[in-house]
Amino acid sequence: MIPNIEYTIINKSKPDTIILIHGLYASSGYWLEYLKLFKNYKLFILNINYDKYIHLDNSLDRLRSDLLSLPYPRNNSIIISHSLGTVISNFLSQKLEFLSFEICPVYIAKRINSEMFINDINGNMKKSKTSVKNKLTSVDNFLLSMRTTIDSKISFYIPKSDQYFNYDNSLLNSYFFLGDHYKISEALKIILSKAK
Amino acid sequence: MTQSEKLQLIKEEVFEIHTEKFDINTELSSIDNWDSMAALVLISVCEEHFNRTDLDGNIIKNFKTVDDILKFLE
Repeated sequence: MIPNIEYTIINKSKPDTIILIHGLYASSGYWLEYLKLFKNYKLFILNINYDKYIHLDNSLDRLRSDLLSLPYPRNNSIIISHSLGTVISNFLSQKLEFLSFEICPVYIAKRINSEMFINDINGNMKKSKTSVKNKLTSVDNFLLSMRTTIDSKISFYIPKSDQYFNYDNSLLNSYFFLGDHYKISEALKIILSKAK
Repeated sequence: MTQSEKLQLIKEEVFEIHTEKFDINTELSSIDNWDSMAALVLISVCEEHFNRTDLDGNIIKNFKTVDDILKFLE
């Protein structure tokens, strides 16, 4: 049986750690194309099966408990997250006192172009439109119940042209980057330059 | 580690295959579990078991068969 959350560690000898958290309709493999940027950091890469949680009883409690049970390196660790994964890093930063760099933070955004999103996912992943649409509704509800407070440990990285979300950009610690919901290399470069 | 042991390690840890036919000629594209997540695990396994830290996504893109992975590890 596939566990609900797995993790992979890369660059084990490096002293500073980045915890990477992917979004919905993605896996830990989302970060593969960006690995070169992270060569000076130990990477603790989560793989979260969001689908499973959405359908569990007490899903939030299970998710919180599973997230807190992982053996995160505690020294010099930061979190970088993307899309739905930003909700997870929001939670972890509160509990574990990590700095959280959140790219495309959907929990401070309003969804736009739902149909386009459904069509894109349908085209890219061969998922049925009904399945994507149902999941979207479940996830939106799940999201709203998961978000916690926003404090100075969190900074937001908002794409200049996100095709799926409109962000609340009035919050402190918001930075814009050249890219869209999936092209995030500029955001990562900005974050890594701040993390040095 | 012998070639056979390497093959077994990759089979179980990267591809999580325990019963199917799997040898050096197996094409990666024919393995259900071969995706970007498995590629990350391969990078981690290479580092942990073979002390190789030079594997990245660009190199992996050129792997066609299991033998290509083993050759990289030589």
